[in-house]
Order: sequence, then structure tokens, then C-alpha cells
Amino acid sequence: MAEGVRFTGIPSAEELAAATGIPSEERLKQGRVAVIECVQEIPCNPCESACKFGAITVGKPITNLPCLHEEKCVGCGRCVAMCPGQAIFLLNYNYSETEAEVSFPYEYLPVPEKGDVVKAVGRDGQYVCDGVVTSVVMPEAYKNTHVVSIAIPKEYINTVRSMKHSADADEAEAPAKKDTASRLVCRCMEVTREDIEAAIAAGATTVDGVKRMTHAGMGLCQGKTCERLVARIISEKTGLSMAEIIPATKRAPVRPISMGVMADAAEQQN
Amino acid sequence: MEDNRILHHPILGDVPERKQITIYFEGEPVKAYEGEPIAAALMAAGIKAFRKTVNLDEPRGIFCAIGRCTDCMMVVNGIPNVRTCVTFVEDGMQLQRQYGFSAAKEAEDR
Repeated sequence: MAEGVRFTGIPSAEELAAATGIPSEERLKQGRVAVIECVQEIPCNPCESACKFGAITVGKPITNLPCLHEEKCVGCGRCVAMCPGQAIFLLNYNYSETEAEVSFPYEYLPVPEKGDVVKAVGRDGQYVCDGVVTSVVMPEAYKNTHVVSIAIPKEYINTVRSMKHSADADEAEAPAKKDTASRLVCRCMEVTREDIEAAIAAGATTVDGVKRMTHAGMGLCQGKTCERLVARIISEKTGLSMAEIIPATKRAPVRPISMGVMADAAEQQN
Repeated sequence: MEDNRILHHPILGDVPERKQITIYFEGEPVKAYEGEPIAAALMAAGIKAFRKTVNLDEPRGIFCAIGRCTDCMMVVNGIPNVRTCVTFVEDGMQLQRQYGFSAAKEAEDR
């Protein structure tokens, strides 16, 4: 499966290497600093105004990736809770002889307490090592987002990005996912990925083409749920970019309405 | 009766006072509050299967919860294909599980 935020929700090593908000190795070793793991060019800039020291700039256009000016960053952590995408963390390499401190936004209950031993997890939510909660803060400006800091062995400073409660980690593993072939793509007409792939193999290269062969998108929701999924599968199978794939023709009504609504409208017009 | 409502929310605060009313699911009374979507009242009562699909006969309930996906459709006061996640409850409302496009499983089998 393809890697990266677009496919897995987890930034890939390649994406992180291209990000403009990651501090240098030298700056990291000097102590508390923000690390902005923002890798998608989306219209968003609360981090820029969150920083009172001018250490984060987005500028124009607003879709720029945030740029970290590491020499100006004092490691206050204001930006951590202000990032709507929860992509900013605070790292303190010099927390102790052997430990580093990682701070991250945390919006789950129960809120951890200082001194708790927790399971430190990586960007993918998988267990990395044990950590000890060193602080939990939620100043007014943080708008109901807690910022939790945990101490972990220094070697995991670039791996650990969140936590789980120890009790959560004991829960049984999630059941294995169904194989992707039998997974429903069009929920209304019950069309599976396998069906879509068969239509593409038979020559369909547009969303409407797949629709005519499988009925995907002909249900009550009018393809609102499956259209982009179908386009993605066409892109994967044919190598066409998403922009090149011709979308389905849109026709009214866009929501299920009773025939009476249209009959009344016609009567009023006459 | 089961009640899965969130009464104290860490961010939204406490639920305000609301008028309690009764809706009926397959003839059985279900507690609801004015201003709730049908789907919310049913979920609060522990009812999760709102309809069965035409081909696979699989249960469906809330999926998108914003009125787009039409997975939560039920027969409401005799009218099929009502999106229960964006339709408010009314006192005495009659709800039936939807089989394909109608309330009766037999109608689909005919």
C-alpha cells in the first residue's frame, strides 16, 4: 500500500524529510524546540499567529507549509495545542542524562496525571516504549486541548509522538480486517472493490463507465460516498492521475425528496 | 431502558433541559427528547440496525451522520427512505426498520 498522509494518515519518512518545520540536529540537542510535522499544503495558518516569537511563518499563499525559524523558537509549546491538525510537537532532548521529553496534544479521556506510567506510541499509534508523564497542561488559550509531556529514552525522540494509557494497551488486538477485495465501495448498491476492479479490467476508465457496468453510484446517495473511492481505484489501476479521471455526471435531485415536492412546484409554476 | 446519551461532555458541557417525548420503533415505545435526530434517539436506546440491505441482507445504521450517505434510512410514519440522522423526532412518531425500500421484509421477497 502506498505510504504517506494521503493514503494512511501517517506522514512517511519522505514527507517528513521534505517538511519545512523540522529543527536541525544541532538545534534539537540545544533543548526544547517545536517540531512541525505538517506535510500537506492545505489552507491553514493558526500556528503562525500562535507563535509570539515569530518562529513560525506560513506567509502567502496560505497553503505554504509552515516554516520553523529554529533560532527564534523558545520551546514555549503554544503552537502545540493551536495546530488544528495536531501536527506540532515539542521535543526536549536534554530532559535528563538518559531521557528526552516529548509533548503532544491529547484530546482523550481520561486525562493522564503527572507521574503516570503510560505506553508511548509512534505516529502510527503503535507501542514504542514506556513513558512517564511529566506534565499535563491546558491553559485558556489551548481551547480544551490538553498538552501532555512524557519522558522517554532519548533514542526514541524522533519516534514517540503520543501515548496510550497502560490499561488500553492490554486490550485485545483489533480483529483482522476483511480482505480489501470484498470490501464495499458503493454502500447503497453493495458494490465491492472486486466488482470495480473487474469493470476497470473490462475497459472502464471513467467514473461513469464503472457506474454503467457495476451500478456503483446509482443508489440513493447519488455516489456521494463512493465516487471518490471509485476514482481512486481507477487511478491505481490505470495510472491516470485523479485530475485526469472524468467524474460522474451530476443530476438533480441531490438529496432524496418525495415526488410530491416536485409535483407541487410544477403546479405552482402553472 | 438503556440510555447511551452523553449527559456531561468535557467540551460541550452539560445537556440542557429538554422536553421528553415518545417515539415508537417497530411498535415499541422509545424515549426521545425534542430537538434530537431520530438516529440519536435510537442509538441512545441501544438500537443500531436501522435497515437491512437489499442484496446481502446486512444491517446498516449510522455511517456518515450528516445526511450524505443514506445508510441510516428508515420508514418514518409510513414514508420510506427517510434519512434519520438529519430528521428530528416528533412525539408519537412511528419508525420501522427498512428492508430494501419498504418496511416489510415480505414485500421484498415477493
